[in-house]
Amino acid sequence: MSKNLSEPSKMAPPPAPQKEVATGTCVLGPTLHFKGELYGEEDLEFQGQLEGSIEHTRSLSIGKEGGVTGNIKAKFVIVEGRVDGDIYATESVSIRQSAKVKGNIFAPRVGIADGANFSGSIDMNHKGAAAATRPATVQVTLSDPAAERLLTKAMG
Amino acid sequence: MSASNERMSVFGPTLRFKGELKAQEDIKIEGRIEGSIHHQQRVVVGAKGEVVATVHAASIDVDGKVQGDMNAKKSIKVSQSAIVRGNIRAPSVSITEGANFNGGVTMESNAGSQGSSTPGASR
Repeated sequence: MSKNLSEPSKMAPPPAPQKEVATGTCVLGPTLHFKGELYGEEDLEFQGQLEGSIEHTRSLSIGKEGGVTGNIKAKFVIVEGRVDGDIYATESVSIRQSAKVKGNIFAPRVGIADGANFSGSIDMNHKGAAAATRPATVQVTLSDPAAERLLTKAMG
Repeated sequence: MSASNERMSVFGPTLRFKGELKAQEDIKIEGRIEGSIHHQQRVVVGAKGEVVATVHAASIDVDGKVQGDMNAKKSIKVSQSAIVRGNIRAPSVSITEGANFNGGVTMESNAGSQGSSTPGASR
């Protein structure tokens, strides 16, 4: 019984055992060229070039030398470089002065610095952005044995 | 105080990438890459790194998992914690005792690129 009670705690966001040091931010250098899909669950500073899509669950910054052709999904997005494509953020998007953005922005909070180059539209009431990075979890009260059986059956 | 360490990009442990990667700087891979890697410098596959790809680079150090062929212009080092499945080709190859390696080894420079057709090179 007590085991069942402890189960829902697994639904809580994953623990962050990594020490939050400055070196923890992952930096991808300026000569890197990616073509394809990139997924990540850690803070990332991107200085390279990417053609394709980025899906991120944490903060993502496109550095001054960085360039992305494709859509970006993350929690926080900071753009200092070039982005050709749509940006979806669950928290905020910040377009810095040195940025060049061509595409639409979907985020509850958006900031565009004076001097930034932006052409596209902004949607601050987009629900899809929030859903995009949240994993689809089935919410079932695990204390209910019938529901639990059903769930394990469905998963198996 | 090696300058190469400062300039090295780190592909973090939670990052996953599917596609083509090209680069001209040292990179350490702690995440997962599927596809192909074309590199001009050193590639380090960290202990948490997982690469399912063909890898071309100047030199390659493997501490993690690699599934696919590796070609290096200079050297390939397979360390103790490595798990490698695939053929490797480089002028100098070292495999540390304890490493898990399954595949062929060809110790010659990339100039003779037709060598990949020779079966069972390592036997």
